[in-house]
Amino acid sequence: MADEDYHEIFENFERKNGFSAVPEVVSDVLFTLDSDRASLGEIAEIIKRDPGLSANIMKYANSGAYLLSKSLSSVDQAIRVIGMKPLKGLCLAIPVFERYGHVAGVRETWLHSRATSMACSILAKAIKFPEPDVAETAGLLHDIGKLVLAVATAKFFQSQIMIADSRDRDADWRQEKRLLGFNHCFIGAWFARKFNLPQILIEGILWHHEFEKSSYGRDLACLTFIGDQMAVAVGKEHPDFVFVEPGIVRALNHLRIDDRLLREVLTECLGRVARMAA
Amino acid sequence: MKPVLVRLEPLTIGTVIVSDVADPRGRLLVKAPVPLDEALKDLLRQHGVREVFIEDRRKGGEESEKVLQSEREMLLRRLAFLGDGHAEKALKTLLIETIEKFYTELTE
Ligand SMILES: [Fe+2]
Ligand SMILES: [Fe+2]
Repeated sequence: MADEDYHEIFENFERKNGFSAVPEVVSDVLFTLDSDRASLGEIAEIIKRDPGLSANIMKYANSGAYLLSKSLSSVDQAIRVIGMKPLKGLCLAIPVFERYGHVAGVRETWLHSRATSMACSILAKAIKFPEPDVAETAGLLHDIGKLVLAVATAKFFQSQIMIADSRDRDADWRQEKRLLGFNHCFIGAWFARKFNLPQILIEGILWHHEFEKSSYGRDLACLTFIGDQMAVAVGKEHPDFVFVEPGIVRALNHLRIDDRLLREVLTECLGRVARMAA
Repeated sequence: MKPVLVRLEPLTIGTVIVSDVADPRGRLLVKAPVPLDEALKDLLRQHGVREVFIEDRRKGGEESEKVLQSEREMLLRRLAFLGDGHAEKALKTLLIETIEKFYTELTE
């Protein structure tokens, strides 16, 4: 892996104020969440200090990510629905995706990430995965490395968008590895590490296209990959690569997901994605 | 009738958009309800809007047939990397059947 090259990308991202997109209060939220004695009320109070973040969290909670009988009207309600564990990932993802929504491919990556998060959460419940909240967050953050690429290597990313549906090409992550020396999974894991996310989540992000390589979080990486591919199948594809990958067959076998279960999960996913707000 | 999110491209002129449309930065582009015309379609395209909410028509008709056809084409395109091996073929069939069933029921 070409060390200098990815350092350059990270520096470039920071130069473009990538991390200033994460509002001040997020570090307080992360700190409080890490302290183990946080309450939802306390977290809500911190989030409310930033009206932009509050509005975006409410928008997210009302956007179809959760099954609601009526729309949520306060930050407190929204946070209760989201729950403590997924909050960390959300507080990181929402501001950066919001901040770079105008960059080519970022909005599509956000829609894809939200659909993947939904698919992972549905799938996790269906197979009784021990940590459905972690699966939901892994889905939301799995392609955060793509956002960094879109911002820091805009030319490269745009060139990939141009050939997104070309049949004469490699999958996004292989193509990145070949042309840049590393891929969005690697950058995503770096991002997750920088914000102190749990090791299992870092593994899930790092190996979401190569779950067999993960020794520590293979099932999560595999589940994230299936969620990712289901999002593509139902139409929330990657802006830079529109296809479902053949590797999904191995992943389904690994988690022993049979046809009946896959049909069920896919149908639920289709319904939820169709109701997802743009 | 509940609104359903569909791709902008195949929609015919006159289809009513039933939910406000914002650009990727969240700025309001158009207030709903509004019938689609060429100028509006262009404006939305220029602002990177690919999908809009229309009414979920369960009675079928030309519009839903077009939406269905477009979904089918997009789906086949997305599955083009799955090969001809037994497992990949079986998976492809399952995905197509499940997704087509979903859209057929939605537009019926
Ligand atoms: Fe990915
Ligand atoms: Fe993805």
